[in-house]
Amino acid sequence: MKERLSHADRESRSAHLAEAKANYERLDRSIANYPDLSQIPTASAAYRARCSEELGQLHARRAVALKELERRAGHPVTVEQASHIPVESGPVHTTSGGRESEAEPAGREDEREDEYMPSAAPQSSLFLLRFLPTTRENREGIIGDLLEEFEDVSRDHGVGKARFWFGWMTFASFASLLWSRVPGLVSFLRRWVLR
Amino acid sequence: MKKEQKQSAIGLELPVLQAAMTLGKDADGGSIRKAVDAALLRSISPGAIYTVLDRLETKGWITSAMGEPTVKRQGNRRKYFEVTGSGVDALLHARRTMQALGWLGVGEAAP
Repeated sequence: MKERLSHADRESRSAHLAEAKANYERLDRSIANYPDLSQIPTASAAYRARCSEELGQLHARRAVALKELERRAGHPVTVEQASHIPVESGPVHTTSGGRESEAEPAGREDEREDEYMPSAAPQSSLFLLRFLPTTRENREGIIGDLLEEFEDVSRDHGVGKARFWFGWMTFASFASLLWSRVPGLVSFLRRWVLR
Repeated sequence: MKKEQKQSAIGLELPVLQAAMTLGKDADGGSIRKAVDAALLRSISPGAIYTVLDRLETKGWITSAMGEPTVKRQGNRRKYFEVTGSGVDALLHARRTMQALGWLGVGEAAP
């Protein structure tokens, strides 16, 4: 009985350590993948301030995650060592209600949603979209909507198809916005000619 | 005699207005486009949808407001739309017109 308890303790400790390590690595990855604002010339001052605030929060959360990792490992851990802490290999199993289930490896599901991954949307199309003949608000809405949907399309159909879709949508948006200006242009020309 | 100028929903205006009405407070350009795409079974560009939304706003059938910038949208704000009272009137007017023309009888009469 004693032997089984100690074995369970060891398993539980290993699971907790793996969880803390995965959480630290997730935050570290988020910081590494954070958008480089020098690559986004359209970024507004408000967006830059927001990014700076978010990045600060990520750094603070990573520091807390490192402390937690140290506590669970039972010894001081440096930033360089954090990713190399040995955790017993293989999936960690926990027992609940007599049924074995795989332990959640990287924190809660809702925590993972804020992980930033750089977009693979074609930069040439993004550049062209900056010149859409419409209001600034509409332009922001169109670019944002396309970027969001690009992620869904690339998840469902692959990045190649998604990039083609993005380019086509850029072209179609230009065409429809220019076409919508034709009646106004015609009436302006008519007024100008008849003057 | 001057002809009475009553505005009616034309082309894409009706599906876009109906989608904005159905989505309620969550109605933004992207979700409206997806709803219209699904209903019409064809892909419509965001440029076309925003053109229609602009026209609806000019007519006073919808109002718009900008959301907060997010990282996923690379700092671009979301544009939200809400149907106004006159927008609801326009939808009801379109429905009454269809009923007056016997639109609902077409399906029954078809072989």
